[in-house]
Amino acid sequence: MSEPASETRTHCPYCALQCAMTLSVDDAGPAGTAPTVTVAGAWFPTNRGRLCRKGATAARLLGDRPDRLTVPLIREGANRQATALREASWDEALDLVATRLTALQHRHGPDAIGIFGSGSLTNEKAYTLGKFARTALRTSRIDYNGRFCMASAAKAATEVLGLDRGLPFPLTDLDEACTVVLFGSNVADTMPPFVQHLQKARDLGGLIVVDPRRSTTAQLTEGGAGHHIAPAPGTDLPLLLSLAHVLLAEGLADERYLGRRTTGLEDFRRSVVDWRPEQAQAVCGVSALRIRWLARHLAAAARAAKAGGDPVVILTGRGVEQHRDGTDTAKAAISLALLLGLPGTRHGGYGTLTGQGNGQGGREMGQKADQLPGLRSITAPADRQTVAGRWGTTAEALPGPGLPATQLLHTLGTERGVKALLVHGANVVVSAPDALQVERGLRALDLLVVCDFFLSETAALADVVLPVLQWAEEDGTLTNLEGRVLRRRRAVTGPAGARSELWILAELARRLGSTVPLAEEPEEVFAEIRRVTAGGPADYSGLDWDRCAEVAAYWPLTEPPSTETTPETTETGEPVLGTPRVFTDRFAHPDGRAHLGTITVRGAQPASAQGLTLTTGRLMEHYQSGTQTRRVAELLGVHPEATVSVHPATAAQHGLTDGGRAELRSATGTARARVVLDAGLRTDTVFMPFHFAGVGAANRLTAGLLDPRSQMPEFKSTPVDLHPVGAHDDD
Amino acid sequence: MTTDRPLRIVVVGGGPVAARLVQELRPALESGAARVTVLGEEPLPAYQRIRLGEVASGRLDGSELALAQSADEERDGVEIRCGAAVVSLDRDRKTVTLAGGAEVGYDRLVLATGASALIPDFPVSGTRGRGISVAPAAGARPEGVIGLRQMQEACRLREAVRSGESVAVLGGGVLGVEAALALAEVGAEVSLLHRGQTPLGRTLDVDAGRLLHRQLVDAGVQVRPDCGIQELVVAARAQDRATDRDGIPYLTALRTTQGRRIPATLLVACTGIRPRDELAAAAGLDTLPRGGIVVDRTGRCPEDAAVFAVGDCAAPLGARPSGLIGPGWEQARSAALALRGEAGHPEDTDLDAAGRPVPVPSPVPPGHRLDPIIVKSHSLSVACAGSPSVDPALDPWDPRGPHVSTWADPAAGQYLRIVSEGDRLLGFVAIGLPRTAAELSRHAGTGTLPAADRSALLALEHAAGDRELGPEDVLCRCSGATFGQVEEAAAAADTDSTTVDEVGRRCGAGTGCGTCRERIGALLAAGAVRQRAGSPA
Repeated sequence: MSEPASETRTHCPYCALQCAMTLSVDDAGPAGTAPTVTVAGAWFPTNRGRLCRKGATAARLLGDRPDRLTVPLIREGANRQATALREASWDEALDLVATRLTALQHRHGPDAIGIFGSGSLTNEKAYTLGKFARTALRTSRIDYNGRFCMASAAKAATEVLGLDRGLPFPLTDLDEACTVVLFGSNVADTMPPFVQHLQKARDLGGLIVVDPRRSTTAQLTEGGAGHHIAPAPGTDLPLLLSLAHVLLAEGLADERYLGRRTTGLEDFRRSVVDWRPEQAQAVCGVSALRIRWLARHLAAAARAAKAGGDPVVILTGRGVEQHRDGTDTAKAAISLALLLGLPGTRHGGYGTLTGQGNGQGGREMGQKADQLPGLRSITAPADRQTVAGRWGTTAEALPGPGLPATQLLHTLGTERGVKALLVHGANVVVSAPDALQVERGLRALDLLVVCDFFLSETAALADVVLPVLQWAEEDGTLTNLEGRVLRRRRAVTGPAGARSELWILAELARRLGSTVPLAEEPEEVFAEIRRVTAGGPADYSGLDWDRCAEVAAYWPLTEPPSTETTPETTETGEPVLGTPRVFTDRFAHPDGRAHLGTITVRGAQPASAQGLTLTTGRLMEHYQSGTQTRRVAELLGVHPEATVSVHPATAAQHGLTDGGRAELRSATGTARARVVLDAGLRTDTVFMPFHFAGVGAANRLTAGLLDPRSQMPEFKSTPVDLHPVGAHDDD
Repeated sequence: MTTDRPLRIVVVGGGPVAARLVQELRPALESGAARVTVLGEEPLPAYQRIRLGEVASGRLDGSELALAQSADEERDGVEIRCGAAVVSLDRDRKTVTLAGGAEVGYDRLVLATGASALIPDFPVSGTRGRGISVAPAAGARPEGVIGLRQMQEACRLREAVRSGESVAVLGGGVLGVEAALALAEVGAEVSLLHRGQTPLGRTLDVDAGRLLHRQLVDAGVQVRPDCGIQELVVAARAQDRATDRDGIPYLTALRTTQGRRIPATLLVACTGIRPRDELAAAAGLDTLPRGGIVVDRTGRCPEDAAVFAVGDCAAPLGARPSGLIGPGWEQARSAALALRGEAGHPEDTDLDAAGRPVPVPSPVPPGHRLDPIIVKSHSLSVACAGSPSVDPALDPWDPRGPHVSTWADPAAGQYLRIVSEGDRLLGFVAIGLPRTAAELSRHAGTGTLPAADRSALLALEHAAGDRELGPEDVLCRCSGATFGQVEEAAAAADTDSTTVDEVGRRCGAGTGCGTCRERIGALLAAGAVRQRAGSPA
């Protein structure tokens, strides 16, 4: 009965680094019990065999867990508080969903149904979700949680460089860099194996981390490894413009490169002219001397790089992007790299560090409100025509752009809102801004359907919960932070009652009477993605399902992979397929140039009475809303509850003690958390991780004010006041 | 406005505040709701006036300060005229007249004429050619006496620096200090003459002023405290040589009020500015006795709703112009918003995701906000704001009174003084403490300083140090392996050549981000692990 342990090579279920891992499956246990799965890091250029604590414990999510959803659940009656979920058959659940959706659309029109997707879904699921929305439901109301992560960087890269590929070069290019600037990225906690690629820069004292916190990553600059610069939250844009100001004012910009490869320099120059370092200093709290030093340092390093030295790389993360001016901030960071003459050369460049596991693929496959597969635009007639034709429908039949994620969620229960919502791979009552409002909105829905493998806080509010397969139980592809398309492989069989989302969507489409069939097998869907994305900016047409399993290619890849030897190989010896570096000859705008332009700083936002600003972020031990990681004892044990980090002087001023409880109050709501003193913080800044639910949910405080350009909500700068919570009034 | 014709806005003055105004008007210009014409007096298009010092010191060429008109503005039909000096304003006919006689009509006029250097009329003595004395003509300013507000003045100063002339700077305000410092930094021979005991006397307390004095001297500036100009010593070339300059007296030296003679061929007077309000005054608009066009909160003249004034020429609510750029920008924004409203293109109301208006920040109460002064220098770090002085008769320890916090490190050239009352920041001085200065200049913007920030501010100057690890402390954050577990893993190997990888295979340490690998390696190399594991617990 028992078989020898089998080994499956796949990638981690968590972040966009997509570390390679080997799953060893041991069926030796008693019959009827799930096999034992162990995880070991495997060699891949991004992780080089290493894993972080999340990846190393990922197998805990598998097996016979009492909290695993294994059968569809249905709520009887409308009152979510009063009634419990009961088990149901798949037919009953799917019939119910299809009937209710049809009735709601009949009454309120196609846009009465909304779909909320995720950057954690495989390419196949993200693609099918978008196709399901546009063809089976014919609703425009689809968006995904990547709107909370990557929307601003994606918009900025598209506007300036003409194409949104997070890292436009292989991650291993960083290994050569003598200078790496991280604007608002805490990789040492969010994707620890990434840190290996910073080793040379650290050895040369060239790691520069810009973060209001002395984060784990900022601490990597200690001991001569680099420099930490701590601007006040929400002031990254003036800081970046001031750095650009110094480059232009002191004649340090690469005029030759700018002349050859960019347009719009004069408009950009106008935008930075007022941001003298002395001016920026009074806004961001970084001294004028420091700003000048950094600008000159970068210029000197870039010059040296071009004279045969080591590359200089500028990277941004959510810290500077999750703001109301996030798009402009990312544009300013790209512009800074352009002034230094780096992007599209081997002397360095700019990149954004994608967060979610399939954050890159998730934003290419057409689950965004404004997008069709292959990074095509839903408003461009030619793109609509192409996709409609390949889907066997007409451009007229495709809906137009929908509501971006925050609007979709914050209008629930209002006139403008959808009446039913289907949630896939997201836990919005924890991860969306103004979580209490989102929860109220979900409760006001006529129908909430959640697909998940655990009963997340969002699933617990649903009328119908559909159990789905997870990472090690399914096949598919994901696109990592450098645009490489990776194969996720099935190592174990999921619970008997759980189904693939592809099957669920196909079944629903059939029940809804859709004339556009949906494929159920990942391989079939992938073949369709190849056809549909052909000719688009994110072109997958040259990829091959089986070949992907051997070699993860960089998109765009149009030609079928050649069998001849290619000149470049990765450090793990695979041939490089596709386009590892996208801008070497030209940028992706029709004129081949990068487009600099006007960037305006918007006014300051109101301060709290105590003058404190909340910034949110992640911990090493948890991922996103914690639906997975809060279920792993090793991870929960390290960080079991919500915390708020406060500078000791600030804590003393407001009567808070280390380990005591604090209540945080913002214009939006209140939250409670345990106090952690952190002398590495700015005195005007407090920090909360956003992985926790209930009163500890950081997003009860965030308001979700939007970047008007990307519709991405503000997460990193919320005015708050802090109050101690006594033992008697603790809950 | 109900008409379909765009609102014609004419801006008199082409300086940075005018440029900001045009920027803020953009949405109304894009939509065609308004058109704007900028009439600049200087013969060249807008440039970064604030950086003239860098031209003067020869670090930059004047052309590098030029601001080409942006393509966006060109597209929106912004008309910028250079060398267009406005000589009169007719409010009834709503026109301005240019020096050449041409008239420009407006619907709304914005005066952004700035300020001019206020140069005193010094007594003059001297000789001409072969010993004939120059008549001390009142008001006739000899060549070599300039302000520092215009490109041509900066160019003259640069010439002096290049040819090794001695330069005297008069005035101990921020402009004078910056100018003297900029010149000394490029090796020019420069004296700074100022009133009072120390430079920046109005914004620095005595201790800070003394430190600044010392730093200026170290930077190569010859500082003359308590010193004014008794008279200018001039010469003039004989007229029989018949060149352009013949007969025109030029500066050769100054005689100070202390009786000292200082050779100088160039005197830069940084002795204050006077708002250029002549157009407004002549047109019957209300102006202050010492200069400044009186306007309301939006920058509009109370007597004429069609005329605005912003920047250094304006006196909002009757307050003297500050001469600083920050308030100028805010005035430009307020006026632009008012103009946009009139053009039928008001500011967009910010909506949240649910479609409700976003609350706007309540403005900082008047008088609370301090405008920080940050001395622009390549070598010194000096920042201050508000008033650093308190009544010496007050008990400094009275918890209700104003609080003065001071800290000084003479060896390091550092000095910090913070004056506050309750949560309000009344003033500060920070010398040689750039990070602290940056934070305090941020606080100046709101005029508040939380009590927590006193000592924490100073601590910012230095990074936090590392701590020794105990056995229960996590050594490898990625795997969660503690110091103790790493010790055990290392001790479990019997060989002397345990590698970091072997330790990793046993306890997981060093298999994630890898930052602790060096530490594990050091532990192994030192043999400390072995010893400790072998010793009784």
